[in-house]
Amino acid sequence: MSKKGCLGLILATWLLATVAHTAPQKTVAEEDATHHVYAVPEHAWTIQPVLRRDSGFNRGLALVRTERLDAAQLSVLPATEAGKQVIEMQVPLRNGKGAVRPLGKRQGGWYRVTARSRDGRSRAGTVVYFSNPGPAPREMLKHPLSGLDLSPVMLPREHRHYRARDTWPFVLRLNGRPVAGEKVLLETAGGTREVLVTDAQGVVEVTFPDDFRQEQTQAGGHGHGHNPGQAFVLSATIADENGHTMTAAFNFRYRPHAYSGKSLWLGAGFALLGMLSATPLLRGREDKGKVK
Amino acid sequence: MNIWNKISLGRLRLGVQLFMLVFLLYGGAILGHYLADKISGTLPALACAYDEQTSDYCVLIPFQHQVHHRLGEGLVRLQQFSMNLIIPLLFTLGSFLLLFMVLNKAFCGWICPLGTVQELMYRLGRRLSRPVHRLMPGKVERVRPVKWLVLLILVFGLPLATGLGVTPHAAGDAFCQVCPSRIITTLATGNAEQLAVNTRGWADLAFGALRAFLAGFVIIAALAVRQPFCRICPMLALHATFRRLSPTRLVKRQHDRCEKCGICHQACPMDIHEIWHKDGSSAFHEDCTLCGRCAEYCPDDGVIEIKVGPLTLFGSSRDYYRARIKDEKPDGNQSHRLALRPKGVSR
Repeated sequence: MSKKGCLGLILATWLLATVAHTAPQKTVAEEDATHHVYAVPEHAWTIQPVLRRDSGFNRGLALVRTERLDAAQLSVLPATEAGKQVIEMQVPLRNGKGAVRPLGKRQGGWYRVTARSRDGRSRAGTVVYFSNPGPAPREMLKHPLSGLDLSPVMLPREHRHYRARDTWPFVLRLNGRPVAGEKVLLETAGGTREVLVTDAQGVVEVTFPDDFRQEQTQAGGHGHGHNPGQAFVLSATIADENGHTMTAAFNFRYRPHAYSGKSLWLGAGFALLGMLSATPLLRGREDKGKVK
Repeated sequence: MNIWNKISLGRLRLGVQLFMLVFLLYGGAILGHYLADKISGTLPALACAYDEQTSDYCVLIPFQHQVHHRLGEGLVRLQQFSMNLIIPLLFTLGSFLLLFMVLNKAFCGWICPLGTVQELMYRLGRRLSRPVHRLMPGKVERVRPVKWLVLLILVFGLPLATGLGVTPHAAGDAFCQVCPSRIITTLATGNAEQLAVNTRGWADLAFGALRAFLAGFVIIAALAVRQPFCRICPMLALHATFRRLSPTRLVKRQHDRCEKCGICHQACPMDIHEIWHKDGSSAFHEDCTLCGRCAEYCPDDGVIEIKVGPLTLFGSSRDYYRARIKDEKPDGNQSHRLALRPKGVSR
């Protein structure tokens, strides 16, 4: 780079640092408010047991608490490499709250968290994500749990989320074996209640409803989704051979659909404008590239 | 026996580019949903993370996220500022360097999906007999600093300012917000979502509009200008910063006939005039993408070489040049069985 270029870069850096230093900054509380992705409102819309994650700034900690479930501990399954054994960790619950931490400082990615009631008849499950690279969650999701279990077959990856109008598979298993032909109830904070039925592999395809209120779709404008979305619960209740009922639930969040708050026509218009701006290049006289 | 007399470096590169284009755009759909997380997420090329089927994605994504969420927010909460916030950034940089060490800037010239799309558009332009616009030394030197500004402002500056709470959240991955690859590669997978402009806030609207405009401009400009976006790409600047660390490099030795020739410069898609006028390490310019066209079109034996350590991967040769120019002119136009003979050069 030329000396002028270096000088320009230094000046730009200085200017940026000055602006950053002098501009009013958000308080920690204000900043946290934009990151309370998991700050779920009361689950008044469901009676199923759920696990709620309380958000905080600490990236190495997820505080998970149980609702409508009398459990002694959380069971945490980290994602593991293919062929390696999935090691289940137990986290004690204090006042219904347990601290889930990633395995080491470097292993992020998905962790599956479940809690089973003391009588063994109800299970709540969710997933938490730590923002560091981690193994794919295939083995973690396949790992069989004792009793009734409802869990995702696949989890969203980078820049992807559960979103309205998208369809994702979930599986219902009893002692690790798929349960076919059972009803699964989908409930959302937007008020949707839908009954689905598992197929022969115990899989139920869930299409998330577009039931957001307008003000919810306007929240958080960032492209890769800081709209907090809203909660959903999938649940199934079946009876065993003794007539005792067992319930399994999985709760997480989904966001407004891909084009919510966006205009494809506007984007296409700007792209067309860009194309038109470049068209003189196509008509111009050819530069033969003679260089002195 | 030189294998390059049997196969063309240009065709080999096109084959690699097309394979990598398919692999990077659709690999996740073919080889598994989590493939991108599995491979690295630190690819030194513009493979977009917004492509839901990508098999690996661009290092600029974690870079910006870490500058925004770790560094910027960590600085705000100085009491929590520690190596825990810095280490992920160094880890990403280290992963990038490890990949980069293998191929150096060839990630630009051989692997980058956006680079490949621009080259394909340029080829289409030749088929449509569109004119060729080259950037001459005066102009090219005015364009060159832009990539450094893009790196400084969009990859580091705005994400950091967002982490500090100065700029809107949309600026947290400012480069991704305007990167044309985000639209062009995702459209190639049948997903128009990234073309849609977010209308929830002025910053999102401005970024979305600029992204769409830039994508449209690049696609059409690439019909007549070689690699229009590559010239301002921050990845090129990032590669340039570390290019001397890699054993893979371009080497040129001085030759008496160079001064009157200049075909290497005509062949260069980045209009690097230094490859013509300079030699030694100066000829391996920061804008070089290691595409190897200069070596292909150098009509003298062993003047320009692509080397890995002491090993020569490809070296210019008269025989290769003669065969190559029958097929394609240095500027990419089709030859009509007439070799381009620059003024003052007799063979």
